[in-house]
This record gives sequence, structure tokens and C-alpha cells, in this order.
Amino acid sequence: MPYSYTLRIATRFQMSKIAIISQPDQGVLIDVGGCSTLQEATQHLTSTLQISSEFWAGMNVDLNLGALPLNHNEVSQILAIAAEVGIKPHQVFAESEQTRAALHAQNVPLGQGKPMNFSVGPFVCDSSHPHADKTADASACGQENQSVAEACTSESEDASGSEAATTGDVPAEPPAKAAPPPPPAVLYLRQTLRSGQTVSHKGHLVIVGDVNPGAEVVADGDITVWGALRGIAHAGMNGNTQAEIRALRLEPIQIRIAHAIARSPDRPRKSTQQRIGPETARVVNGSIRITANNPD
Amino acid sequence: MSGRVIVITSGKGGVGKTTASANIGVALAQTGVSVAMVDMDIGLRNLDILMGLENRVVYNLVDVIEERCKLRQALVKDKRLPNLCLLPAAQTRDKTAVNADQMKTLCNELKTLFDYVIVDSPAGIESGFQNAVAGAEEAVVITTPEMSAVRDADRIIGLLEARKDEISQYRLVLNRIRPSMVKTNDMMSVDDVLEILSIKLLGVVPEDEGIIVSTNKGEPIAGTDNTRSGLAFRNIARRLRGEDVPLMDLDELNQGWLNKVVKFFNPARA
Repeated sequence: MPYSYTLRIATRFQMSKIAIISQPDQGVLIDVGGCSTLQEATQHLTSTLQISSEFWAGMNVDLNLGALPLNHNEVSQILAIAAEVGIKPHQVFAESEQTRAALHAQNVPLGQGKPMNFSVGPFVCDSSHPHADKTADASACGQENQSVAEACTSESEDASGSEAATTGDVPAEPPAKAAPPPPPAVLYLRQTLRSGQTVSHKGHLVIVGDVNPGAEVVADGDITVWGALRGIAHAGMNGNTQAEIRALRLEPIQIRIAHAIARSPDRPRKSTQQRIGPETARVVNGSIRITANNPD
Repeated sequence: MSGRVIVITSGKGGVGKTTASANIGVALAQTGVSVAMVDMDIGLRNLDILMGLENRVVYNLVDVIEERCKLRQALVKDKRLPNLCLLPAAQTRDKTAVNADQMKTLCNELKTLFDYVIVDSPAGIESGFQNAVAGAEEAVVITTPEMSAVRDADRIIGLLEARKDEISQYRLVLNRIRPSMVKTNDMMSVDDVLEILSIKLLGVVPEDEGIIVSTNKGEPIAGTDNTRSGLAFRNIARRLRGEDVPLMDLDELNQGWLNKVVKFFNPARA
């Protein structure tokens, strides 16, 4: 592919917050990481990619979404724009865990680590990056968990068990140049989910932070919230009735496990009762029961 | 059966669209007709909270439009009134999730099921508003007696007039009026507002602290309380049904028995 041609495009679109970077042996990297919102990204991407659809045909294209937090639909939106000009990304890089989960849900090959820059060689795995590191850890230990999860009926006490597992001392994945890394079986999120935000994951979900009313967390496995769960949580989405939902403060609007659904009482808890510790919701005889996790 | 689709809109935010929607919906349902309330404020949904139905929402308007569920599955029945339903908005999406044609289809379907369809419009004049009015045949414009709210209401009325073919009538509800301030010339009066907007008046709702309490409780004031604001919304509902109800005398508002005694001895204070 003509190197000079791509360089020209790269300089031409530097203004538009999208960089197109040629990678001598690997093809082309389209970098959307400079955009701060989805709207910005889609706008620039649309205008940038319409150079010529023939230009992209058969080219090995990688996509970098940077730190954009995107949900399922937003990811499809981006991919649809690329597909319009015949681009099916070889791999997609993303720093946001939410985006990675959404990409994984759509079976898009995830790029490992950080995408290359001009100064750095191709596909150097930047292990100093905290997010990249965490995902690698999570995916590595997640493989063990997954096999256990099927038959998991034991009463795991609270989040500490899962947390230890995710942050445990596991050797990082080797820099992936060959096959795309396996999806993380545990998604570990360290943030507060606010109204309107959704996280969906095919595996267990651990959130260190609060889930506010109006936010939704969905997982095939368990959902553990190290904080207050005040929004909607749906565990065992694929029909797994063994899935559990636990939180330090379990005050959800609704919880759903597999096909069971429970809603909060119409009258809120009285203030005298408010000091309630961690609780776990699970399905007993087809309906959702909540039990307290008392340390003593 | 072919019901009436009424959109509640204002242009400016925070003047009481959602509160009015909830109360008009409840008040209409109390008269015995079947009512569906549609929350069009996708991404910033509130109507379910005001109705106290937040914890019963499973599917929403976008799910219906994208055919993930049937319309009947998404309708949430009210806690007290069996003939009142809510079609909640999606919280995790935004205004681009629906378009005007889809709304028209949805409103037409709702029309066959209910006597009244109350559509709660989002603030603004962009796509969210355009979608909300798409399926409507009547409009209720809400404003407060403030210059900015009246200006925005004027803009909205202009936009509604441009849709003359679809929207047969539009009427005004003046919300949060304080008769004591009107009397001291610190607030625009009903007549002042009507002079600017030159539009038919549907009702006047006095300012009421009880609204805040009812909002937090999730019980619209029109259904539970015997306050003046609740009565005002019930009157609005009756007028929507075609009854001729006179406007209530706002001057009586501040006249508790103590005020009446004071007035008796010192008429100049009144």
C-alpha cells in the first residue's frame, strides 16, 4: 500500500481529531481516540472514511476507540459507519471497559494493550496502562472462574471473594500478536454508574462503586456491587437461575435473575431500618429471595 | 374506539409539563375514562417517578418501537386506577431512538385502546418535541407567569400553528401562579399572559408546596389531595372532557379563617 498516500491522509485529517496511521507491515490504524463524544466520533469518522470505498477495499484496518465509553448500540453505530465503506476492522482497541465489553458482546476481535504509534513499533503491549493491565488480569483468572461458574451453588459471602480473584497475582497475558485474547469472564469496573448508563457483560460483573437509579447492569453470571445498588440489575440473563446479585446496600428499583423479577416495595424503607448491611439476592423456588450477609 | 391524543408541551424546561401530565392523566382517569400516559422524554424519564411506578417498569417505549415487546407488555398499570396506564420512556437511550412516523403509528395504536392518550413532551423544540407532537391531535401548552417561560410558550404555539392540519386545537395552562404576588404587581396576571399569547385558556394552577410532597411520594396531587392545585387539575380534566367549568377564584386562596378575621376588622389590608 502506498505509504506516502496514507501519510498525506494522516496529515490532512489531523485537524478532524481522527488520525489515520499507516503501519508498515500491518495495514492501517484509524484512531478515533481524539474525540471526546460519540457524536464527535461518528461525525468525523463519516467524513473521514468517505475518501473512496475502493481505497479501503481489502485493506487490513485496525480501529482505536481510545477512552470513549460506548454501549452496545453505540458500538454498532461506529461499526456500521465503517461497514458502509467496506471496512471490517481486523481488531478494535479500546481503553474503556464498557466499550470492551460491548465489543466483545458483538464478537469483535479486541486489540490487546495500546495501539501502535509512529514512534513505537507495531503492537507493543503497553503493560503500564492500568486499564489494559486489569483486563488482562481479569481475563486470565476469568478462565478459571468460568468452569466453576456452571456448577457454582456455593454461598459466596460478599464481593471480597470475587475481588481477590480479579486482582490476584496472575501473570499477564503475553503480548497478543496472534489470536485475539479470550473474552474476560469477569468484568471489573471501578466507577459509579449514573442514570442512563448501562453495562452488559457475558460473564460475571463486579462493580466497585454505586449503581444509581436509572442505570442498568446486565450479566450472564453474578453481579456484585461493592457499593449501593439503586438501579436495575439483571443477573443470569441467559437463563442461569444460579446467578446471584449482591451489594453492600441492596436498594434496587428492580432485580431480575434469569426469568424471575422482583421490584422494590412501594413504600421506601424507614430511616430507622436504613443501616442494613450487605445482602444477596438469589432465586429460591422460582422467586427472588434476599438474605443478609452477616459476618457473624 | 378512537381516543383523543393530547400532547403536553411548553418549550421551556421546569415549568411543570410532567407534573401536569401526571395530574391531568389521573384526573381524567378519575372521571371514568380510560387513559394512557406516554413519556416521550427519552433519556430523561421522570413521569414514572411522579406516578410512583418506577419499580414496575420492565419494557419501555423504545422496546415497543423496536419490536422487542408488545405494546400491552410495556404498558404499566397505575397503582390505584385500573383504567390508567403509563408507557414509560427509555432511560438508557436518547431522543434519536424514535422518529415521527413511528410515533404516529404508536399513537394510532394507543388511540384504539384508550379514550385519552396524554403525551408528555420533552423540553426544547428539537427532535424530541417534534416526535412528541407527531401523533397528537390536540395540545396543552404549559407556562408559568414568567417572561422567559411565556416567550418560550409563544415559540411553541407558533410551531403548533404551523401544524394546523394535524393539531386541531391548543390551549394554555398557566402553572404556579401566586395570587398574592399578582396583587402586588410582582407577577404577571392571567390576563397579562393571555394578552401576550392570545390563546384559549384551559386552566390556572396555583403554586402549591403540596406538589413537591406529592412528587416525592409518587402520588399525583389530583388523585389524593383536596388542595387547590389538585382541584385545578381536576377542573382542567373536566374542561378537556368538554364540560364548562368556571375558573376558580384565585383571590380566595390566601384567605384562611385567620385572614378572613383580619380582613373583617381591617378591610384595607385585603
